Amino acid sequence: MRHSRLTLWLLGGFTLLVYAYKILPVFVVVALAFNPPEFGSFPIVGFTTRWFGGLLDNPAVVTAVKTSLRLAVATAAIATVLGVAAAYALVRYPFRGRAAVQLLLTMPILVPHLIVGVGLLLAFRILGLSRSFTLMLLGHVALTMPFVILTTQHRLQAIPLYLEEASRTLGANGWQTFREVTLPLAAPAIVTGFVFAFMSSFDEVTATLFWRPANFDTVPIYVLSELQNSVSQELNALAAALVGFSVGVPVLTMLLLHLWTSRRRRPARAPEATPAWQPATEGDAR
Amino acid sequence: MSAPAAVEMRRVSRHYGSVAAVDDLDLTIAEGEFVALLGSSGCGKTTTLRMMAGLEQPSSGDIVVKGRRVNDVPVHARNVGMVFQNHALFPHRTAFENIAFGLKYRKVPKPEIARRVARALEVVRLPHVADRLPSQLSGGQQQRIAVARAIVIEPDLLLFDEPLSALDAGLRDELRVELKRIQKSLGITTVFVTHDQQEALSMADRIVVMHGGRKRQEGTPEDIYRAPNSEFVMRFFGRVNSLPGTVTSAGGGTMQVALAEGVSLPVPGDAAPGTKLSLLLRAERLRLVPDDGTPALRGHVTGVDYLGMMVRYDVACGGETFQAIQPAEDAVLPIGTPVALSLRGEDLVLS
Ligand SMILES: Nc1ncnc2c1ncn2[C@@H]1O[C@H](COP(=O)(O)OP(=O)(O)OP(=O)(O)O)[C@@H](O)[C@H]1O
Ligand SMILES: [Mg+2]
Repeated sequence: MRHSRLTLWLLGGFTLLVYAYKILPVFVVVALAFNPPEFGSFPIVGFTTRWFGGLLDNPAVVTAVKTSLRLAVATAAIATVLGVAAAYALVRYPFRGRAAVQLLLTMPILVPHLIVGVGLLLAFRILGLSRSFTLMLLGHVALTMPFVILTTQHRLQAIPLYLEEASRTLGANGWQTFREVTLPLAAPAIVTGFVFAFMSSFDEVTATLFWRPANFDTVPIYVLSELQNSVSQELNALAAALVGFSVGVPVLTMLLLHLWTSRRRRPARAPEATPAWQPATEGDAR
Repeated sequence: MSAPAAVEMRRVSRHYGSVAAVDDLDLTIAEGEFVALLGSSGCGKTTTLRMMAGLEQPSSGDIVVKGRRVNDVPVHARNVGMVFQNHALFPHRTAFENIAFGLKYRKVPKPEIARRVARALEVVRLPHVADRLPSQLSGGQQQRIAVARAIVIEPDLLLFDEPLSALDAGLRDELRVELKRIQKSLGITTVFVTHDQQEALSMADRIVVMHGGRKRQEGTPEDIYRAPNSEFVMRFFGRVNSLPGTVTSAGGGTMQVALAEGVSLPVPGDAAPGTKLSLLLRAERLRLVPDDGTPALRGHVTGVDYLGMMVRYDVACGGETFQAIQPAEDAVLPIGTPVALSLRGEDLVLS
């Protein structure tokens, strides 16, 4: 099908509008956060970082940041350990019911967080458990483990089985083989999974609202509850910081991973150019 | 009593579902021996090798190393060196680290590791590539490093699974000679899997021909080539002609067999006069000679395949086509040339 020039322009314009609609508010928040006046409003009259400085003096914000980091780090750590183990089992062992386990473990990525949130809360009610940090942690692990499983699984499938077999014939047992061969080769994918898990735990709001104990705020939940009062400059600054963090961490991770893997792949010296069938020793034996 | 064999497989079978990949295999390999497992694709060579390594469990039967049953010994405790078809070097480790890998798990002290790795690199003639990653080595170098990694642990048993099949022809010949030299100089008991009869003939002390998970024949390369115990084994080592004949007289282990066109030859064997036989003859044992009028099988050339050192002819003779491989020292006969076929009774094998 051929599009007329007009339809192409319309399509392009509409696409731009959609992106603008989604992204402009983010820019507005970030721009306002650096604006000196007390009440977050246009026009932009100058540049200041004092609203960010003010955040550090607000104990509620500091507590929320600490909570969020504690939760996200613990979530990512647990989700990574369990997720890597699950991915390894799913890729390397053809056990009965593998497809069902795969579906069950990766389902939370497909189900709306509202449903996961309510579901887990109900399950704990029935078991007679009250809301706690542990409950929240468990919930976050369930929500974020699919990221680790999927990235790791994908990578593991590309690691040939014979490398692990070679390692075992050389005298490394199952665990040593995993540590020395599988883990280093899968490391970039595992790091990616960890960061994914960390970020999605850090940003999670919907399900967390159901799980958190009273007066237990993560950063996004603090922002949400403060919004009900008013839009202050401090809140704009916090939101801007959140945006920076949410974009910065993954971008930085990708950059570092890229540097790491490309350094490992790039030949330090060019491979020998001599025809392969010549005895390889002559000349350059030292 | 003689020392126990380096490896014994006693009535070993391995089933995958209803498929018997290896079927009731008996195999004894002596200390220091180089045995080739030879067979076409899917005959169970790899499965046999993997069971020796411990990477696969037999469905039944015992695997015995130096008199000790090892069925339940895990791979990492078996002390086997294995070289895979695709080298299987660890891509994130340098050549040095790859070779040192097995020594680490044998609690060899660091300075000694360095010494032994250096020696292994000398053995495979690559002392200068220690610091390179596998991706910085050529295919042949990678395979040599894989060999160094397997021999440096001084294994009880060295296993090769078609280690040369991924290399180009020239390199394959060179490495073939090299592997043989290394194996002999170190005296490591070796099992070498291949589907290439040339490789098996030139390298092995003993060849085991497999088919359908079973052993069809075993013996020295010469035995197997000279005295195949079946048409199957004979055909595995080259092109074979089959000639019909009739026994006219017999006695004393030799019988007179009449072929077509009044040709009659003494052939080893005993069968009652009048018996119809099918005789097998290798293409390289059938000679094309000028027609001098004496009784002979006659025909004319219908196909020529010039191979450099050799020429392979198709010759139509009666209703059949025979194949003859001749040294290419004379001028190549053009298609249509009338020829006589010369053959010797002792080269004929009963099918
Ligand atoms: N893991 C497995 N699952 C099912 N069947 C298998 C498995 N491994 C091998 N087989 C079957 O067992 C038989 C022997 O396989 P094996 O790999 O030992 O053959 P091979 O002689 O090494 O062949 P090739 O020369 O092609 O490598 C084949 O029919 C194969 O399909
Ligand atoms: Mg094979």
